Amino acid sequence: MIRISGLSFRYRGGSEEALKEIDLTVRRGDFLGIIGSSGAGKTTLLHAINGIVPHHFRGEFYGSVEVDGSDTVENRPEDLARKVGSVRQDFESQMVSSVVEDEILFGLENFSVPRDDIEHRIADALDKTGIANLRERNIATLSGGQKQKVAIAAIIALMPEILILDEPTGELDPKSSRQIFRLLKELNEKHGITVVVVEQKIMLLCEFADSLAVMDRGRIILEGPVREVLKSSREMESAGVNCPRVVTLADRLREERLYDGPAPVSISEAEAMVRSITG
Amino acid sequence: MEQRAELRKQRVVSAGSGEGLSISDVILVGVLLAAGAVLKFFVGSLFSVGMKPNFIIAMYCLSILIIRPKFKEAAVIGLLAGAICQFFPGTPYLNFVSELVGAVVMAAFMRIPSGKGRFSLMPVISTFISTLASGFTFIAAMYLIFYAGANVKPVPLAIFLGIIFGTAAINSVIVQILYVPLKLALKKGQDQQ
Amino acid sequence: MIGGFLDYSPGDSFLHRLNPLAKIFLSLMLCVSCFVTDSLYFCLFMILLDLAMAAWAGISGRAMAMLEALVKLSALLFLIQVFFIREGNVILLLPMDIRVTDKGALFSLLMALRLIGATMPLALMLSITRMNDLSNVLVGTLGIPYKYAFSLTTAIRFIPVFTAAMAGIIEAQTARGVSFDTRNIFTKIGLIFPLCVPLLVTSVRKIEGAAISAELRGFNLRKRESGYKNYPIRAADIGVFLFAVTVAVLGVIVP
Repeated sequence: MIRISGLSFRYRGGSEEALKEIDLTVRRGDFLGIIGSSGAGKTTLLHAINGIVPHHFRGEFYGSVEVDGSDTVENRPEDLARKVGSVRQDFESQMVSSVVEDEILFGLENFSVPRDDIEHRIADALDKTGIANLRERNIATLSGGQKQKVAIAAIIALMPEILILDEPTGELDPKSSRQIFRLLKELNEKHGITVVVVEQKIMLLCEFADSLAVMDRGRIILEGPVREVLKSSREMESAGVNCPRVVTLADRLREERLYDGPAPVSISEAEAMVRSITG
Repeated sequence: MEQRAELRKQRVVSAGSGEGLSISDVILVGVLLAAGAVLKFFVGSLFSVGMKPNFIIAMYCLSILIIRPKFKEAAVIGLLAGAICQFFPGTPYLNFVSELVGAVVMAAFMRIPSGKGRFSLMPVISTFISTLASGFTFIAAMYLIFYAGANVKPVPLAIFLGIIFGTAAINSVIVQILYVPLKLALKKGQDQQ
Repeated sequence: MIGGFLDYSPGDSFLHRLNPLAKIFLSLMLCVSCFVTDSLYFCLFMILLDLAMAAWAGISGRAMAMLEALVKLSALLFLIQVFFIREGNVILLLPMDIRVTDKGALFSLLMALRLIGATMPLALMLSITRMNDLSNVLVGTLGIPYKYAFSLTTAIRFIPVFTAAMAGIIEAQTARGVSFDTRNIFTKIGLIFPLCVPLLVTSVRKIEGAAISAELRGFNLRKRESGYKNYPIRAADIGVFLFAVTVAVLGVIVP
C-alpha cells in the first residue's frame, strides 16, 4: 500500500537531513504506529507520504515513496489525497467552516464528488465517526474530542484507503484520546482503512496498533509487530521513547532469563506474566 | 547495487507553484482582517475621537507588505477589507472604494526596490501614504454623496485633515512595529511543519 | 460578535429564505434611496421600513440595538454639521458667535437620518444571511474566485475566536493593574502591542498548517461549479428585486 525506499530528505536551508535512508512498507489493512522523540522526523515522514514533502516543502529529496502505486514526487498532494487522507494534530487550524456539515462538505465539493453521492457520503462519514448527532452544530461549541472526530469525519467522507494522522490525541485528555483510537481501530477493522498514526502515548499504540516504527534522528531504528518491537525496550529508551513500565519489566525479566513470553500490552497479560513467574 | 545508486539521484518537483495568491496568502489575509476587525472594536474604544488608529487599514497594509501581491490581487485585498468594514456602523459601501485605493497605493510601494537585509523604513512610509490615500478617498466620496446638490457650506475639510494625518501617523507606527515579528512568526510557522 | 452584528440570527421567515443576492441587492437599493432623496419624511419612512422588515424576520431586538447605536453616532454627526452651516435664519444663537440656523438644522437632520437609513438595511440583511450561503452565491452566481470568498469566510470565522482571546487578554492585563484610561496618546499606543502581538503571532504561526490542511483537502482543485448547494432565483427573489428598484426610484421622485 505504501512503499518507501531509500528516502532521504533535507529541508531547503536545513543543516541536517530530516529523514535518512528510510525504508518502510505498510501493507493494506495495517495499523501502524510511529513513535519517537520530538524532532525525530515523524511529521516529515507523514508529509512524505501525503506529498507535502517535496511539493509544499521543497528540499533535497532522494529515494521514492509510492502510495498504492503512485509516486509522490510525480503526483500532486491533492491528487494523492484521493487515496491518503491526512488528519493533523491541531484540529483548530484545519477547520474551514463554522458548522459541522459544511466542514465535511468542503472536501467533497473540492474533489467534485457527484451531487447525488454527497448526502450519503456526509451521513456515512458522520455515522462511522459516531457524531451523526453533531451534524448541525456550530464547531466552536464542540469539545476537543468532538472537534477531532469532525476532522476525521471530514477526511473519511473523501473515502481514502489510507488514513494518516499526526498526533491526533496531542491536545486531548486521556478519555477522549482512547475514544479516538477506538474509532481508528474500528475504521481499520470494519472498513479496511489502512491507518498510519504518529503518537506519543505508547500505551495507546500498544493497545490498538498492529505494528510499530520507532524513529530517532531521522531514521527508523526499530520496526515490526508491536510485541516484537517492545522486546527492545532499551533501544527505545535510548531513542527517547518511554516504554510502559510493565514492558520494561518484561524485558528485564527476559534478560534475567526469568520470563520468555511476549511483552504484555494489557493488564490481564501483565497479570499472566507475573503469575507465570511467581507461580 | 545498481538500483541503490539509482535511488541516490536527487529528485525534483517539476511543476511550479500556481499564480496569484497561494492558500497561505489567502488565509493570512483572512486572519489579519479578522484581527483588524476585533482590534478596531476593542482598542478603538480606548481612543476618543481624533487621533485613532485604523486597524483595518493597518492590517491590509501589513498583509500587502508580507505577500507583495500584484495590483489586481491588492485590489481584491482592498475590497475584502471594504467588505469587513461593512460590519461596523458607519457609512456603508464607501469603504469598498477607499480601501481599494489604499490597497492599490500600498501595492505600488511594493514595486519600489528597497535594500534587503537592512532595517527598512518602507513599512512606515508606505503605510502612511496608503492610509492618507484611503482617508482622502473616503472623505472625497463622502462629500460627493452628502453634499452633492445641497447648497450648503460643508464642514471644513481641515477637521478631517487632522484626523486623517493622525490616523496615518499612528497606523504607520503600528505597521512598522508589527511587520518584523509577524514575518518571523510566519517563517517560524513554516519551519515548524 | 461585535455587538452581535455578525451573528447569524436563525429563522425561517420570508426574508430569511430569500436568495442571498436578493437580500444584498435590497439592502443596497434601500441605502441608495436614502441618499438620492432630499425628503426627511422619506428617510424616516425608510427607517420605519427597516424596522418593519426586522420585525418580520423576528429580529426586532437586534434592530433596536442597532438603531440605538446609530442614533448615537448620527447625533454626533448632527452636532458637528449643524454648527458649520451659517446660511438660513438663525434659530439659536450661542456665545462665541456659534449659531444654529433653520436650514442648517434641517440639513443636518437629513444627514443624520440618511446615515441611519443607509446603514441599517445591510446590517439587518447580513444578520439573517448565513455567511456560507453568501460566499457560495458570490462564487457560484457572481463568479467571484473561490479563494477570495474563502479569505472572507476565514476572516469571519476568526472574528469570534479573536474576540474571545482579546477579551481574555484585556482581562488579564487589567488584573495585572494595567490601566487603559490614560490620556497620553503614546502610552495608549504602547498599550496596544501587548494586546495584539501575542494574538497575531500565535495565529500567524498556524497559517502554514491551515494552508497544508486545505491543500490536502483539495482546495486547489476547486472549481466554480464545485459548490453543492443550489441557490436558485425564485419568484419571491424577483419580486424583491423589483420592490428594491421601485424604492430607489421613489427616492428620486418623492419631493
